[in-house]
Amino acid sequence: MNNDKQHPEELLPWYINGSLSAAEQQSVDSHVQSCEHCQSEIAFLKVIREQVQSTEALAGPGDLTKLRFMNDIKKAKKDKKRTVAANWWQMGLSVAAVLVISVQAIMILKVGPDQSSTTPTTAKIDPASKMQLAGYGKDNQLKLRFQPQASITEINTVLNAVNASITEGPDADNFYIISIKINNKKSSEKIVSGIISQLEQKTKLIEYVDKP
Amino acid sequence: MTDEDSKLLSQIAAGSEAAMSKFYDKFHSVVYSFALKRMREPSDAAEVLNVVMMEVWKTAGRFQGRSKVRTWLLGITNFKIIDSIRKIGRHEGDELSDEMADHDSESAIDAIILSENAEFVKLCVGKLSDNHKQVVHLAFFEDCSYSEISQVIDCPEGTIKTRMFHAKSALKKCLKKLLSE
Ligand SMILES: [Zn+2]
Repeated sequence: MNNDKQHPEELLPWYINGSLSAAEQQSVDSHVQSCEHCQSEIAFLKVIREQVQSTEALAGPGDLTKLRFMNDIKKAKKDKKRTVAANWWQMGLSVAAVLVISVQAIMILKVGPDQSSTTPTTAKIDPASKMQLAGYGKDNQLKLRFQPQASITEINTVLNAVNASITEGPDADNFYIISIKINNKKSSEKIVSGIISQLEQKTKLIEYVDKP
Repeated sequence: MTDEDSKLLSQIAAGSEAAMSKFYDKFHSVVYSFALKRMREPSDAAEVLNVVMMEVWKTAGRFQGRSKVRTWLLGITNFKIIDSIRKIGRHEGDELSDEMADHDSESAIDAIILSENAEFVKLCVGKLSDNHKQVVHLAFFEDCSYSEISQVIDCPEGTIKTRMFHAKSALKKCLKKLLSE
């Protein structure tokens, strides 16, 4: 036992993660060598550290989370443009500026989210669209939400298996619309309800299926 | 390394989506695992991740370069987690108390017996209070120094050391109880 000094207990967690300064490290080192109490504390802390590292290393948020984020910043960019335009209006217009601003306003209208006909590729994943389309519940469309940790590959596999593909989304609540390709129009209702129960069993990938 | 990170941040500040995408790929697990540790629900942690990244997108220009990018990011994350926990209003029921050390938490536990009872360790770490989870995660998952943790949590270094000491006591108490049952 080492009685001439106090145990440097408060430093031990950082002693084992290797982040102490050289001087601290050295002083703990020399104490610990002859102190059984601190040695057993270190052994205890090491077990805790191992546990913390082992369970959390597995964590991953899934591809969709990033996809949603990248959509969000695109939308934030658009919103910023709109705010800039609004500020221009409030500044009071000189005659010469009127022309410039009306041109700008037209441009902003064009890049707005409602112009889906001119920009079919971005409209596909535009979170600004409300997704309350008439097609929902009809035309073999379903609205659903995936688990955040699901990967795109996993999602595609599930959707391919039921002959479906994502046609829209995600919206603000993270819902997607999928369309199911059905050749036999007569029994499409039956097929869709079969697919719903099939999808509902995939709880690891699909959090919620909104029923028509 | 750090230079590369601050370069990414200045590109993000200039509005580069490509730089933001790179930053996201590089740092998402730092943010996500810190959030998951304290919120349990993967969907809540994913939500925090995107809120934090949005903050980075908006405020990258304010990064001062006085701290490491990771420290700065963990600070934002910590703030957003607290905010989110408050909004969700989730009570963790049987979380371990923050009370002072007593005799039970002073004496040693055999590390070998502990390694054989990894499930107990996991259970007790999961039951720590949020204040204790913060320091345990930052020290043992991120391997942060105590001065780095004090920047992330915005508390004096002495507070961080004391908090860690209490976290250790709470863990011992919890483990002893489980081992004696
Ligand atoms: Zn000692």
